Amino acid sequence: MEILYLLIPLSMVLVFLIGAVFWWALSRGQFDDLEVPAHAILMDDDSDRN
Amino acid sequence: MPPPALEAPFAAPLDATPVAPAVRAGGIEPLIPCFHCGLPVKERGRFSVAFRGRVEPLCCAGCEAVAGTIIGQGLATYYDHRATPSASAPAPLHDAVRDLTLWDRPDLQAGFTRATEGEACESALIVEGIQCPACAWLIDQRLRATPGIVDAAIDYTTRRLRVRWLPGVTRLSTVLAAVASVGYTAHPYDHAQAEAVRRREWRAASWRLALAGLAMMQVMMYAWPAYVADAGEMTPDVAQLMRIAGLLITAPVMVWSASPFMRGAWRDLRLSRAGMDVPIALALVVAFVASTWSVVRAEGDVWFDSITMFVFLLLGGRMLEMLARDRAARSIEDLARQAPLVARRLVDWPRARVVEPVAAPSLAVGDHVVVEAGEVAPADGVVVDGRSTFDESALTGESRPVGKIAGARVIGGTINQASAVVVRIERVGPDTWLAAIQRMVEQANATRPRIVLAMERHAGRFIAVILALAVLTGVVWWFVDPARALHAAIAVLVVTCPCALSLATPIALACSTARLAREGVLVADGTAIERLAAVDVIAFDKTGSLTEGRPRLARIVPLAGSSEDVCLAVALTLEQHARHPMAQAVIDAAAARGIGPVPVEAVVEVPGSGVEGRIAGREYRIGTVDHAGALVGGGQPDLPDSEAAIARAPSSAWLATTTGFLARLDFEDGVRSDAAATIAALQDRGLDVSVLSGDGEAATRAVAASLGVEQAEGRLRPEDKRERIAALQHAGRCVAMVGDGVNDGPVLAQADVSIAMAGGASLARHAAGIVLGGNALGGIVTALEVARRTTRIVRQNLAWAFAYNVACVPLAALGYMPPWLAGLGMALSSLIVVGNSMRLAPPRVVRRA
Repeated sequence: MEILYLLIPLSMVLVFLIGAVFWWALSRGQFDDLEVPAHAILMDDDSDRN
Repeated sequence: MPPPALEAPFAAPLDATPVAPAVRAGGIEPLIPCFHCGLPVKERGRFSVAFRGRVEPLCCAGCEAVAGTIIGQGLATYYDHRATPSASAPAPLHDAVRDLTLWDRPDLQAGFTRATEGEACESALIVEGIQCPACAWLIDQRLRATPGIVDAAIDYTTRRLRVRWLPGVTRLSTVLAAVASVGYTAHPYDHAQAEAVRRREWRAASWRLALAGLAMMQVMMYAWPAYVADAGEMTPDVAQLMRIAGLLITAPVMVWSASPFMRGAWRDLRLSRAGMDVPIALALVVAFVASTWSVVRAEGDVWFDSITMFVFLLLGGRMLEMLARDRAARSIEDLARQAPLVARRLVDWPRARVVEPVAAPSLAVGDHVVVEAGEVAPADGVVVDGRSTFDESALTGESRPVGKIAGARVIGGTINQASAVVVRIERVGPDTWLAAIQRMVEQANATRPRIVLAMERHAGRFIAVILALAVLTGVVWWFVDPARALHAAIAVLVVTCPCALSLATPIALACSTARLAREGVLVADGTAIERLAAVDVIAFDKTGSLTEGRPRLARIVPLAGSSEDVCLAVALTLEQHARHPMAQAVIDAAAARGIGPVPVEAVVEVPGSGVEGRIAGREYRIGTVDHAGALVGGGQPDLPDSEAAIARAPSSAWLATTTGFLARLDFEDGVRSDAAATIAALQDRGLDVSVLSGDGEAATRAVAASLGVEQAEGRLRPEDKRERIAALQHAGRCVAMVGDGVNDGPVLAQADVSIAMAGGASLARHAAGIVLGGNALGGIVTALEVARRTTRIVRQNLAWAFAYNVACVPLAALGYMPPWLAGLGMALSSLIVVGNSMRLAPPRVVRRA
C-alpha cells in the first residue's frame, strides 16, 4: 500500500492543476457564451468566401 | 416577429426613392416572407438579394442592406444554419464611469433620472450582488432610512432599483453610497453595463460551481475507503493521509465556493436578523471545524464529502435561478435596445434639408429628424413630411406593417420600412412610449404580490425556529449518544434550508411576466396574474376594445350606375396621397379588393373638405357633400327622404364628377377581426362574457349579437358600468374589465383585473393591470392561459416545499438522515421549484448567430 503515499499527493496535484487550467480558461472568457460558439463552428465555412 | 438587425442600416447605403403606393394593381397575391426577417413582403421586386444564384425577395431597405452585407462578407452560410428568421443586434458599449460624484452632474443623469410629481427625481439603477429576495429587502430598508429618499422599489428578477429622491436634500451619489454601505454596488442603469455586470457574475458563479464540483468528486474518492473499509483494513496512517487530502481540497471550497453564503450570513448577523444564509453557513462552519479537529487529532469522522457536495448542489440551484432571472431580465432589456443611439436632425427644417447627426438622447421636443428607410425612429413624434410604413411588431406585437402619412404618430423604436419621412419629435427620453413600457414591466416586477410579502414576514421566524430545533436536536442527542449529536444537528440545519419555500412564488411570477412580455402582453401590476386566474366574468367596452376605434369603409353606394369597384378605384386614386384618417380606410378597402389606382393629374387636397383631381381629362372630387357637390353645380344629391339624413353624416364621403354624384362611401368603426375568435375562446374556457358600452343600445346589442355575446347593455355612463361590475362582485363573481383605458378609468379600477388596449398617449397613467401591447385582443386568451398555469405551478411549488420540510425535519432530528443526504434533498427541492417555474417561460430557440 506504500504506493498510496505517492498516488494521493499526485491526485491532489492533478486536481489543483485542473482547477488552475479551468481558472485560466474562465478568465479568458471561454465560458462566457455557451451557445453561440457551438453554432459558429458550423457556420465557419471557408469555401463560401471568395 | 423581431426586427432585423438594428445597427446595419446605419452603415449601409440608404434607399430614399419616393414611395410607390402601398397598393398594386391586380388581384391579391399570396404573401411571401422576407428572405431575411420573415415578415411579409409588401412590394414584390422592390428589394431583393442574390443568394446562391437565386434572387431572394426582401421586405425593406433595412433587410436588403443587412442581407447584402451578410452575403457580401462571405457569411452566407448564416442563412443555412439560423434557427429562426432575423437576428437581434448587440448593444454598443459605453465607457464605464467610475467616480460616484460624477453622477451628480445633471447631464449624465439625464438618461436614467427623470422628474416626478413634487420635487422628487426618480432614478433607475442596477444593483450588483443581489442573490435572494432578502437582499432586495435589505437594500429597500437601507434606502428608506436615508434622509431625502422618498421611495425605493427594487426588482429581484432584474436587479433593477427605482429610487425617488429629493434633489434639495440629498444627491444621487449619496443614494449610490447608501446601497454600497450594505454591501451591494449600484450602477446607473444602462444596458451595456448590465451586460458587463452579468458577465462578471456569470464568471464568478461558474468558477465557484466548477471548483465545488471538482472538489466534490475528488473528496468523495478520499472518503470512499472510510465508508467501505472494514475495521482494521485501513492502516491509521493511510486513513490520516485521506483526511489530510480531504482537508486540503475542501479548504479552497470553503474560501471561494462558499463565500456567497458566508458573506450573506455575516451581513445578516451584523444587522442582527435571521436570513436564509445563516443556517447554511452555520452548518458549513460547524462541519468544517469539527472535521478539521478530527484531522488534528488524527482520528474520528470527517464530513468533507458532505461539505463539498452541499456547496456544489446549493450553487447549482443558485446558477439555475440566475439563468431564470436573466431570461426574464433580457426580455425587458430587449425593449430597451430598440431605441437607436444616433439620430439625423434637420437643423434648418423646413427651410432647408440640412442633416446633422446627433446623439439620440440629446434630441429635444420640437426637433425635426429624418428617418430614412430601414432606420429606427429615435423618439416618439409626428410625421410632417413623406409617407411610409413602419414595423411596430417589436413594441406592440402588431405583425402587419403600419402605414404612416403626415400627421400620423410614430413610436420611437419602430422601424421605417419603405422610404424617408420627416418626423417632428413630440416626446423624448423617459416620456416616450418605449420608456413607458419598460417602466410598466419593471413596476410590475417590483410590486410584490401579497403572498410573497407574507412569506418574507414569516421567513425570519421560520429560520429562528430552525436554529432552535437544531440546537435542541444536538442537546438531546448529546445525552442519548454524544457521538451522533453533531451529525443530527448539522442534518437538521441543512435539510430545512428554506430556499425552496421562498423561491416558490417569485420565480414563477417572474417567469410568467417574461413569457407574456414576449407575446406582447404587458403585466403592469404583478398581482394581476394571480387574480386573472380566478376571473369568471369578463366585461368588454365596445368602442376601441371590441371595435378598432378608427374608420373603416363599410360600403359603397353607387349612385350613377357605375360599379362599386370603379368608384373605389377613383376614390383610391384621389385619396392615395391624402392625409385624412378616412383616406387610410379607402386605401385599406382597395387593398382588400385588390384594386389599384389609375393615372391621375393635378391632385389637390382641400383640408377639412376633401380632395380633387383630374383623371383622363375629367374633374373628380371626393369629400363632404358640399365639396363634392360644388363640382355638380352646388346641387344636393338626388336622394329618397329616408337617406337624406345620412347625407350630412360625418361618417360618409361623397364622390362626384362634373356630370353628377357617382357614389356615397359610408365609414363605420369596424369590429376587430379577432374579436369573435377571442370571445369564443374565452367562453370555451368557462368565462361569462358581457358587453358594457356607452354607445346606443341597438348598436351595442347588434355588435354583441354578431360576436355571440348575449349579455349586452348600451347607453351606460362610466358610473353605470362601475355599478354593474360592483353588483357582479357582490354576487361573488371575479370580474375582468377590458377597456380603452382613457374614459374607463373608474371602471377599470373597480374590476378585479383591468385589461387595456395599448392606446399610446396615456399608457403610463393607465390604471390597467394588464396592457395588450399588440393591437389584438388575442392576448387576453394568452394571458388567461398563462395566469392559470402560473397559479397551478405556484401551488405545486408551495405544496412540494412544504411537504418536503414536514417529511424531512423529523427524520433528520431522529438521526436517520446523514448530512450528505440532507444536503442532496435540500438542493433537489430548490432545483425542482426553479425547474418547475421555468416551464412557464421555455427558452427561445437561439436567435443570436
